[in-house]
Amino acid sequence: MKKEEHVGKYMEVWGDTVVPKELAASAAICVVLTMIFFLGGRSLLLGIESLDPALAKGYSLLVGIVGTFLGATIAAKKFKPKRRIMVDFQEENIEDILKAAGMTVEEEREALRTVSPEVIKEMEDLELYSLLSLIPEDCANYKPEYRQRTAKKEGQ
Amino acid sequence: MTTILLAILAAVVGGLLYTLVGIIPGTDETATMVPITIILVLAGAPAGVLFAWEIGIIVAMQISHTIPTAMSALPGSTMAVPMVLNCSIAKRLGVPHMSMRKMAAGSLVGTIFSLPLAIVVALILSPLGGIISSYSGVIFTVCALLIAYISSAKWGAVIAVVPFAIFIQALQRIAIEGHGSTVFTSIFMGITIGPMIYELFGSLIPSRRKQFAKDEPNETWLAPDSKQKISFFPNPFKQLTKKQIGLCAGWSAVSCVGFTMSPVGMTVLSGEASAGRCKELYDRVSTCLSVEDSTSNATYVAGFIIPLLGLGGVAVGGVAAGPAAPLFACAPRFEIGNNMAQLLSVPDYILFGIIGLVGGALVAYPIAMHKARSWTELMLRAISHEALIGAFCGLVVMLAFYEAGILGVFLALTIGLVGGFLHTVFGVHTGVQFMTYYASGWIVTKLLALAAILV
Repeated sequence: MKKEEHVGKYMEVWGDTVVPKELAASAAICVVLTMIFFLGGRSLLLGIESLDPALAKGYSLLVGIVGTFLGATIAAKKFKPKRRIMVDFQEENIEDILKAAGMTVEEEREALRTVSPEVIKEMEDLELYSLLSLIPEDCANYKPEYRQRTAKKEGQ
Repeated sequence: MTTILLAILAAVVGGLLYTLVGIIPGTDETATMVPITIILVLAGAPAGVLFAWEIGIIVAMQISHTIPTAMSALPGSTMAVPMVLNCSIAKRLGVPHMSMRKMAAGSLVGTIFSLPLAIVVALILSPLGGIISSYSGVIFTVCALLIAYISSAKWGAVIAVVPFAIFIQALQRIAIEGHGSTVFTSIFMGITIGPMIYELFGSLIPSRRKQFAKDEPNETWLAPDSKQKISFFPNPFKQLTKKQIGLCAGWSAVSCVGFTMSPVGMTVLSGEASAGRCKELYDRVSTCLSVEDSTSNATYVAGFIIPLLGLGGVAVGGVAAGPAAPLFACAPRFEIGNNMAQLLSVPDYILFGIIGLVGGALVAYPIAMHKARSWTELMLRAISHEALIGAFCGLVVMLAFYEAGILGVFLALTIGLVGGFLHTVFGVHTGVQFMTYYASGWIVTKLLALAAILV
């Protein structure tokens, strides 16, 4: 007996995961509903004699969109999203973050020395003490409270 | 007067709609903006309304695409891709709301600077408009080759321009035979859906299916909300430092001058150049993000207005040949030489531009400032990707059918398969293909002339 090859359930289309069968069903629902609304709208609007035929055809596209939205609503109700959403958040080591940004702690320390008070104010508002506590003691931006804050945070 | 009221309505409704589209991760600007814009053009909307609509949806989408980018480091649209790295760093620092506010504010500031600047640059260029439109064939070809060379496929893309032009013209001959005239929408939508058609086609081939299949759905991280209080419509200039405002203004000017450049390319460039001026991590991340979103907005506004007002409606550059294309050419109403450019005067650009800016920002900006997290979560949980692609398929089929009956649908699928292959496998991206579409008439005419000499 031939063993069937394992193929994953999901498929990546246009940057997100979908189930192929559900995608096909959803496309069919939307295409059919759109075309029913469009063709129905067109024959109805072309029947109105006071309306310019070119405009009537244009308006029937707007009727078609209603079908599209209806189809999409049905598809969204029938087929649930396949994304897995994670909500929890953990505080990370500042060294790792600096490394991800292509920097070292020493470079950041030196850079903090000359940063403008406007930027320091923003960082204070955002409570970015993990960065503020790196400010060297011998420069104008240094405030002892930054380090006390991080110490307090760690102590908690 | 009714035109003004309609324009306000179009900008607000468009703003609301594209705020939602922008929140959905990964949506492409051209693919989402073109179908509904085509419908409005064909439904006979006045030029001023169309202009306000386009500016409104650009502004709204460029603000709201920052929401998923900041909250889960998923690009909200193609233009948000350059911001992903800095957003992920901000998220790791625990301040995703900061990146969102910086980007949304930068986005508005960029539009406010670029709207008048683009009109000025366009007026400087406008004496050249007549000359440029008579040489549009050559200009499109040069642009196509240029965009091809700066794509990741380099010389491969340059060489691909010629056969792809022949392919498009061959399809046009079939369209003439079956439908009586050449087609625009079917080919344009075909190129747009190419990457998707290619993936779907691949899933039908047993040896390829494994490559596309996955066992697990995508995982998405969502950051917690901030506790900071802000007003309903905070002043965007107060959200940025003086240095950031200066850089935004500078790059808006650069974007206006370089309006033919690729918007994504310009955005990356502005971010890299600004990063070089900031040594400190927080300063760098926040400055890069504000300048990048400001530049992406400015390139869109400039790339839309300058070809219209300055070049007499010749669709040069990534925006005019992409998201704004239906306002330049959309048979039977608009064609090059007879489009929006001939219907609007300078005061119209200013008036409807402001209506579009305000209408687009009215919905998107407060949502970005206040509702970022809850709306992202709602979109991610409620709207499946299947429904989104389904709706898109419905629009494409209807538009192709509207233009050339069932033949239009066949043509769109054919060009989608070939274009999608070139895009996904070789990196000859859809931007190159759009430009080649405009250049194809001239290229094939010259090839035929050459063929007549060299028998």
